[in-house]
Amino acid sequence: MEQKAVTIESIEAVYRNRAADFFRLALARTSDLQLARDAVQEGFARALRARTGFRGSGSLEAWICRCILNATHDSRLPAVEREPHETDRNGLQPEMSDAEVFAALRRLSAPQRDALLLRFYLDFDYLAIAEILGIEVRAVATTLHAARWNLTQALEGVVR
Amino acid sequence: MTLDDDALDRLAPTPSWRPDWVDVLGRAGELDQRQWQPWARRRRILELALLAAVLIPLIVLLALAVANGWWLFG
Repeated sequence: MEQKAVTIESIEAVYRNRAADFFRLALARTSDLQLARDAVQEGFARALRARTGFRGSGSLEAWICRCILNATHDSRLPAVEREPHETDRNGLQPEMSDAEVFAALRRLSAPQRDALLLRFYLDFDYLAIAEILGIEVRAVATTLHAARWNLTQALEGVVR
Repeated sequence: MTLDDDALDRLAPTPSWRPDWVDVLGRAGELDQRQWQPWARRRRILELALLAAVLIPLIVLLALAVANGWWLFG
């Protein structure tokens, strides 16, 4: 299989089109605006530095996403220990705080949480999610289903 | 929109994002190289032009010498 060269310009194009979505993913994982921003910037910087190592077996977006997820891991600051950022609460349920939503997310297993966030914020297909998380494609559907069910249960417990 | 969609949507608002590609290039160590690149390209063009300025008259001269049977090739 011919290896596809990754240029700075192709990574920049992903940044221009998708960085805001990656930021939402990182923000949901870290619950900290600055850490999330750093994770995205650092993730793209890592992708630039390692671009010659991209084998082209999957999508470039998925590969960059893995760099960003690794960067959020490396922040080593579990979200549950920090005060969540404030978001605009207009039109939102006042009885459910961001901290409670983050806590509900934290209760999910890591694959469930990441699969859910990748699907929701980046709209990745099952193949890309499987590639990023290193799981079988057929396991993605069950992981997502379990994640949604568990999160809904946890949030309903908060709202009640 | 379901309960979990609503919760996830509000956790990470898009307006908080401010893109900064120059910062990414700086973190990756690509910024210096990129600033240097236009100068390197101009220098290479100048070098090629100088080489052409030397080689082209030399080739023309050699061709003339061969065509006219000048002593140099006799």
